[in-house]
Formats: sequence, C-alpha cells, structure tokens
Amino acid sequence: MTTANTPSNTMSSSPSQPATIPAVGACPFADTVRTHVGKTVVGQQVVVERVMIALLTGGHLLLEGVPGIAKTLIVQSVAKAIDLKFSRVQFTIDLLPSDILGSEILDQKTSEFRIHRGPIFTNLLLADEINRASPKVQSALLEAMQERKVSIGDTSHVLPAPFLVIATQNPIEQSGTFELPEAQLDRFLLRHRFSYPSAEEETEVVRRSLKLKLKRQGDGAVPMSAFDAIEDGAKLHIRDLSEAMAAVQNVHVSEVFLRDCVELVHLTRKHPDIELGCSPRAALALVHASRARAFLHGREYTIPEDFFALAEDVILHRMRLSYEALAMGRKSTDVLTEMLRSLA
Amino acid sequence: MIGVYFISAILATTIVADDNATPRGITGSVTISHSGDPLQAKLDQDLSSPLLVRVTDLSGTDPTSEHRYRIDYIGAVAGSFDLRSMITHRDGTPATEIAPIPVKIVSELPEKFGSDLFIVSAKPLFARSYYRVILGLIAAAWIAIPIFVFVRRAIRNRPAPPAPPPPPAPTLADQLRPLVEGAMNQGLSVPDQARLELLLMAFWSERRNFSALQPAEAIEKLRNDPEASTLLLAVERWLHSRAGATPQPEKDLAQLLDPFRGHDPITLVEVAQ
Repeated sequence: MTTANTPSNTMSSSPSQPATIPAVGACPFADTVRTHVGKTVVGQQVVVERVMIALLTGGHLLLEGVPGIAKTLIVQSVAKAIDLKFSRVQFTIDLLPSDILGSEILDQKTSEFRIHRGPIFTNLLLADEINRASPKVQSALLEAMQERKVSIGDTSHVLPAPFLVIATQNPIEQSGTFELPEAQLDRFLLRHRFSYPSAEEETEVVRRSLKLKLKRQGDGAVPMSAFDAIEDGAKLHIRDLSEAMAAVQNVHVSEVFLRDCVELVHLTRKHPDIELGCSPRAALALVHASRARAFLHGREYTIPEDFFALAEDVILHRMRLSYEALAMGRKSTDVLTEMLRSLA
Repeated sequence: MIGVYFISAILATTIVADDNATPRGITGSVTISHSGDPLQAKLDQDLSSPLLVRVTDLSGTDPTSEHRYRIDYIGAVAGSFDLRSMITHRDGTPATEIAPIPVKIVSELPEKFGSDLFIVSAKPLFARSYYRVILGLIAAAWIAIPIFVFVRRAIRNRPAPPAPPPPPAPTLADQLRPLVEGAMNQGLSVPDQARLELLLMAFWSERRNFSALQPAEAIEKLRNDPEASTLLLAVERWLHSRAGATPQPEKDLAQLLDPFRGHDPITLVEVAQ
C-alpha cells in the first residue's frame, strides 16, 4: 500500500525538513488530530506530526524554539483532540521535585498523611522551559519519564497511560539555565527545532486573532486568547490512541531500512568531527519513530523518506561535535547531512 | 805421406771458440789458426739454411805464415752444427783437413715453441685466403641490412586491420537491471538493496539538481516527481513492504528502466563524494 502524496499544504517548520502532509483519508487518526489542531494553530504541521509520533511511540518530545510560536498551544490542542489529560509546568530555578511529582501532606482532619499527586500524573505534561529548572528537578522528571512511575514517600505510583512529556527549551536565553546533559537528552525520542512561521501563515494567525471576541466574566471581560478558541469537544479518545499505537506496532520495517538506521548511528561514532556519537537508543528511536510516521502517512511499511525526515530530530541531540570541529565553524546539521549523503 | 800431412794439418789448426752456445739469430764467432790453403766460407749459402757462416782472415798477406781466421756464424735453428762443413778452400774443395768446429745454437724460447725462425706454426689467417668472399659478404650485408630494416618498419607501420566494433558501453539501465530484477523477485541481498536505492536517489537528485537540497527534501521531491517516482516507488514497495510486491511482467521492467538508458553507470564512490 502506498500513498499518492500530493502535498496540498507544505509548510515547513524547519528549513531542512520536508513537511509532507499525507493525503486526507490516508490515516483517519492523523486527519482528525490535524483537523482539530488546525482550527487553532496555523501551519506547524511537522510539529503536530512530531507530537503524534511521540504519542504513538510512547516517547518524549523536546521542542526548541523562540517564545511565541505556539508551542504550548499546539500541545494543548493535541491533548484536547484526543481527550488526554493535560498539565503544564513552568520550570523555574526555585522549582522543587515535589512540585512536579507530588508529596505526602498531613491531613489535619484525619491526622494521617495522604498523597498529593503532582502535575506529572497526567497524560500529556508540558514542561515549559525545562532548562530553567535545577538539575535536581530535571533529573526527577527524567527519571519519571524513563520509568513511568514515581515514588512519593514509601509508595511507588505508576503514571497514567499514555504518558508523554513534551518539554520546551528557549535556545536564545541561556543565562540562568541548566543545559540538559547528553545522557538526559538521550531520553527524549525527538528534539524538534521550531522556526518562525512563513509570512502567509503569520498573516493568517493575525487574521484569526481579529476574530476572537471578549470573554465575559461577570461584569468584566477579557479578550479571548487562542487557548480559549480550542474546541472542547474531543474527536478521539484514549482508546483510539491505543488502537493507533497497536497499528503502529504492525508497521513493517524492512531489513534494508534497519541497516540504514544502524549504519547512520554507527557513522556518528566514527565521524572525525564528532566527539560523542549516538547510543543504541538512537537507532531504536529512529526505527520506532519511522514506524509511527509511516502509520501517519497511511503506509504499512517504513520507507527511506521516514528515515531522512526524522534523522535530524532523532540524531542531532544525541551527538556532540568535537571542540576542533566547533572551532572550525562546523555545525551539527552539516555533519549530519554529510553522513546522510553518504547513506543516500 | 798424406797421412802425415793430415796429421800435421790437424795439429796445425787451433780452434778458439768464443762460446760454443750461441742463441739463435745472434752472431757467434770462432777463431781458428790454419796453416794450409787459405780458407773461405762456403759460397752460395742459402739464406734459409739453418746456419750462415762468414770467414774473415785475420792474418797478413804473407802466404807462408800461419793464418788466423775468425769464423762468424748465425744460427737460425737450434741445434749442434759443425762449422767445418760450411768452410771450403779457395778452390771450393771442402776443408776436411781442419778439425771439426762444433757450435751449439740454442733457442731462448721454450721447447714446445720450436726453434725454426721461418716455420709459422699458426694456421694462416682465414681472411688471407677468402678476403674477396668476405668483402662480398660485407657488401651484401651493407645493402641487405638497410633493406631488411626498411621492410620490417614498413610491415610494422602497416595500418592494422579494423578492429571489430566494441560492444556498446553498459548504461545505467544495464547497471540497474540485475538489481531491479532482484528487488522484484525478492532475491536481493540487503547491501544490494541499499545500493539500488542509493543509485536511484543519486541519479535523480543529479538530474533534478537536488544536490544542494537536504536529503530529506530531495527524496520528498523525488517521490512526487512523475518521472522519478515510477521506479522509486516501485522499489520502495518491493524492498520495504511486508510481503514484497507482486512480480511484474518483463515489459514493465523495460518500461521502468527506460529513463536510465543512455546514461553512464554510477559508481558508489562518486555518490559518496
């Protein structure tokens, strides 16, 4: 089964990544989510696709981009489209692990400790500006991401299923931040870099904002925001997501595709400009994410296009250039492109 | 009476030999005294004779007194000789009344080289006898060798017969055919599968000037290209789908390979560069 892709709406969120939108009807699940998100968010089709890939594979997503490009809006829209519980935590320097995980508090009525569950007990957690929290908080969140359970007091609590963390980072304000180390970055299935919307998209964003009215609260009123415009009526449910996840498991991955994935990961370990190559987790992420992408494009098997489309989001945050390469002005994307060209 | 005369004559001859061992070719001399008829060297000595003798009368003109003669001799051949045989009286009669005058001619050469000055032991030079023939042969060679060289050069420079036309150079279609057939029949090894996809992408990226694009962009555009996508999508189906694609008739394969005819094969080294 193949898709006759006719890119009716190709909007690039990153200049190096194609934004192929599969034909309507190729994947009903993806169509529904896109339609729902598209009512609120203009463009950013690739980001929506990456969020869905993370959902379908049970991975986590790190979004990197300047403020004001609808990162939170996209995540919240996707959550509402699938009827997922959604929490948002703004990470700051004084945040404590218990602020995310929860804690035991003394119930004065019963004189007993009871568990106060933190915002992590949700399906979709948006960790906004994760690099602003202290390493202790980052570590607590990343452990929970890995193990999908948290310990509060003496009790271990399993997190809801599905559980997905979408963290954001602001790439320009590095003062007072704690950069995530490579070992923790490795736990994110994908790291996607936002770019500004195109002029047409931005015009449409402004045009839509003009249609927003006032939200009245008693006698007062505030202007509606884009968040207020998100439709509440979910079109999909967690059961649909589970079925889609099961369908992703059935997507076929050929031997030659596996070879390409492993070959690319091995190349990162041998490249002279790379100080730290990718872990085996990178090959796993590339294969699983490709399967999810193939499903979203209505295919029953992965193809090289999936591999090339996802390589940057899977590989770049898992490798570190050498000091010499950085001093010579080399960029990670250039090195990755070199490696991809040697494969393709 | 005659016997007395001979005895007196013998006694009257005194021989003083300087040295009776004389090398060949060197003049030796013997001095004798003789009171009889005057002596002289044998006339008409042959120059090729082994010994040449000259007799010189050393005494005065008084015929009654005893004569002293110096006999000079040159030996040509080593051996012992008696000079008396080479001396005669003035009237030509042999001087038999004088005592034998033995001399010894010795050779400075080792014995095996002989002692005859006039005998040449080596064979005569061949050229001495056949020089005309040799000169003729040289003249013939003088003419024949340049002719031979000229003819040989002419043969070598003769234009070679036209070589049979070389087989047509393999095209990219020929390079792809076994790979595509293998992909169709699910019989391609994994490295060859990767090679096939690589060749297709490299060819179409170059044809469409997508080399400057990111690989992800390039492949997305190629999949939507009406011409490039024909084989590209078919190969995707054959290589990546679960059960593979249904084998297609040969005419389909020929159609799929049509765009690659007339193009040179691609080496993977070029692609990597």
